[in-house]
Amino acid sequence: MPLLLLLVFMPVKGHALSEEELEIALILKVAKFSIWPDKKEGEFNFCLYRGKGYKSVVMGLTEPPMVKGRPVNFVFIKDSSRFQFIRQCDLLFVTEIASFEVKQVLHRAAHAPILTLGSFSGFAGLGGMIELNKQSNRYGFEIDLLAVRNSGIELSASLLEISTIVNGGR
Amino acid sequence: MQNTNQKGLTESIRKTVLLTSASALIIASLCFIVMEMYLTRQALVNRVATMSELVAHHVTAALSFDDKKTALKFLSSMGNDTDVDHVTILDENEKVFVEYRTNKLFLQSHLSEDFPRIEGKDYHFTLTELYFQHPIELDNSTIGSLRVCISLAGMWAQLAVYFLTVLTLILILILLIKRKAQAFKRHIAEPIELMLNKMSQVQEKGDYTVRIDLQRKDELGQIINQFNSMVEGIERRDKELVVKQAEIEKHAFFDPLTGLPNRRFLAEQLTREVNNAHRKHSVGAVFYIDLDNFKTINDSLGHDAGDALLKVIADRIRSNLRECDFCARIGGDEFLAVLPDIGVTEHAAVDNAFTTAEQLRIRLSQAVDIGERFVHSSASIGISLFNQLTGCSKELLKQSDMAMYAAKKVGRNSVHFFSKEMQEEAMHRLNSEEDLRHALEVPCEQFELYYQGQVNQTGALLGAEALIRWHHPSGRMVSPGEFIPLAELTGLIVPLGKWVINTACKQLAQWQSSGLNLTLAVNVSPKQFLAEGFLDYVGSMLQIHAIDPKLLEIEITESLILDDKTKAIEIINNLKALGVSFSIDDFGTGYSSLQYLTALPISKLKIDQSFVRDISCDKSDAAIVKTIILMTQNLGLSVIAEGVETEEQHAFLIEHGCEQFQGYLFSKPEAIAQFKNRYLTSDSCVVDV
Repeated sequence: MPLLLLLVFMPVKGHALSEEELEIALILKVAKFSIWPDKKEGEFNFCLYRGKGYKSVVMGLTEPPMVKGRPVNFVFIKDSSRFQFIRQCDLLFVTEIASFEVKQVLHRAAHAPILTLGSFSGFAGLGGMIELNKQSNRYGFEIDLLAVRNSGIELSASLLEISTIVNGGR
Repeated sequence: MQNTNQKGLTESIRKTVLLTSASALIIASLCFIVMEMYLTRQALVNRVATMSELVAHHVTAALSFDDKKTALKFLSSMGNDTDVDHVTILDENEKVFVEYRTNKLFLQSHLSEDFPRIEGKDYHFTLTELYFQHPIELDNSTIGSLRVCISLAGMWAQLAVYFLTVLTLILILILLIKRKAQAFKRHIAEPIELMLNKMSQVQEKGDYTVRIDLQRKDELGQIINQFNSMVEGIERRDKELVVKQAEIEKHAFFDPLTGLPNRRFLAEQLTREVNNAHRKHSVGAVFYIDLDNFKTINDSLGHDAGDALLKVIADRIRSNLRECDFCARIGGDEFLAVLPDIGVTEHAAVDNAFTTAEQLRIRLSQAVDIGERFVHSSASIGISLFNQLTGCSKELLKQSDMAMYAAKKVGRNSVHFFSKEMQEEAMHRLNSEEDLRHALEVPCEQFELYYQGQVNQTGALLGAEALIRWHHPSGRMVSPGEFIPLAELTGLIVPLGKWVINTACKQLAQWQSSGLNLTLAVNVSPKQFLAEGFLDYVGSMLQIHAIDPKLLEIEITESLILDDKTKAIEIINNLKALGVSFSIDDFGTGYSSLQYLTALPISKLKIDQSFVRDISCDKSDAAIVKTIILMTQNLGLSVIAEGVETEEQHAFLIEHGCEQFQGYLFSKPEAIAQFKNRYLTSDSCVVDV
């Protein structure tokens, strides 16, 4: 399955961005192309499962980012003992972990309006909604449209235009 | 003026229709064109807006995630629209993210220099292009913009086609309207023109027989019918007025009993004739006629008889006058007749007026059949003459009235002139006529022929001219110049002329029996010559007296030819056939036409004594005499000069070839005894001719 390569160039603070910074920025943009079924107010819960390495990135943000007019609240879920928090998430970013754990995490998030993203290969195949692929400096998106639909979330057509669709559900 | 108005109306209607229609069409077309421009622009803006919104939505992610390839794919899809010139996506910093130009793809980011700054609205129009800008938004934030440049060439081409179509339609419509205007002109303006023409005819000429012959069922038809009815009504009324006017005039100017004009009409007519006499220097006469015993007839036989008599009298007066004369009934038994131009001189006018009045008087004195019986009546006639010196017609009437009373005074049934001199002249003429008539009733006693010798160049006698003399019982010798005109006027010339021819033939017979071959010239007046039986009379006289016809020479004047040319020529030819000679008397004073000289069997010309008299002192008379002599020589005629009184005249005439002479130089007219003593005592004096 060919992967759409996207070059993301986001100069921040006058230096080249780290991989984590890039990924956080990309995910925040993807969130903007997503439409959740029930309109919520209050903070937007951006959850990171085992995303300890991204904490410094979040901590380094000078002002809290906004998604759909809601201030983003970064929630770090350090392991499976904290699964009960998954259902509170609006967006769940899963870093590279064992595939069985991925399935458990996704299982917890299943059938809930939680946009799941993963930055490792095979995430979409395991039931994750959006997989970030990186080749050299270019990122691409692989989207499991069936998983997205099952969650009740809608993705913008323009995002789909630049992504690789898997499991279209048809 | 009429024609200009008509033309103006037609042209005005035509121009108004054309201008109004053309203006309405042009204004409407301009409105349509402006509206079409506006709608076309709006449609273009809407189309570009829809297209831009769609593309902007689709390229949001491409712009967000820096996917130029996908962005270009969408931009190139806009290129399918032929009006699109170029499309550009700018990022949030207004830097060109990607740009697409027709047939050109710019993958490299660069600034679009020619895109104008758009403020306040999404688009900007120039003459040739439409610039449209649409924001690219993500999550309520503008992350860039889409700029589209549309070429307006297509729109202008479309509008041009539209404009040309409208223009063609306008032209077609104007042509149609023009044709309609022509039809309108035919249908409306031309009938109006026709009506105006007819109305002008009525107005200018007063001709109410004019009708508009146009059948229509519309309002114009109604107007035409109304006009025709109106004119017909006026025409009918006019005719009635004319008839009534004629009736009024008839009653006002004519006598209902006799049908003659009345006094009022007479006054006008008399004034007119007096004015004519002034202008023409002629003399006219007015007869005031009054019946002598009308009152007695009226009283004894009744008014009906009186009326019947008046009718007959009126008819007789009318029939006794010329066509140009005018008569009127001016009172119970009073009539008035106006006779214009009855003479060139007063003398002639007195003669003519008297003759006519006498004839009328005699006619009116004849018995009148009034149905049951004959009535004897008579009339007194008063005459006054008018010429250029006469005053007004009232005065003339008064004079003739007074003359009529004078006629009554001398015993009724008579004619009387107003002027004493005229009356005397008329009485003298009347007496002379009576004397002449009496003289002719007593044969030969008062008349005598005198003879004046006619000689040749040597003085030898060739013949004589017979000249009549009247020994009046008063002892006075009346000259022919005095009684011949009276004889001609009264018709007594015919018996008088017969006496002359008879006497002359008798004398010729005597000469002939004495062996003298003398010719005898006899003057014959035109009236006598043209009178019935003249030819037979001359023939019988020649036969009775057994004379050689060639010795009888009839002298006629040029005026004879003028009186009745055809008859005169016929009689001349018949007499010539009998052998009688002809000479033209007083030649040169009258007609003097070469044409009749050559056409008639004339043998001699007699040069009038008026030319001979002044032959030695008047060059023109001398020239005329010479010409006449030369002319007779050329025509082979003989010529005789009369009135030769001096040797000088005689010598001149001989010198220029005249062969015969008559005049006091040789002998005056003499009675036959003296004539014989002078010429016939010596044989040497007589020559054969």
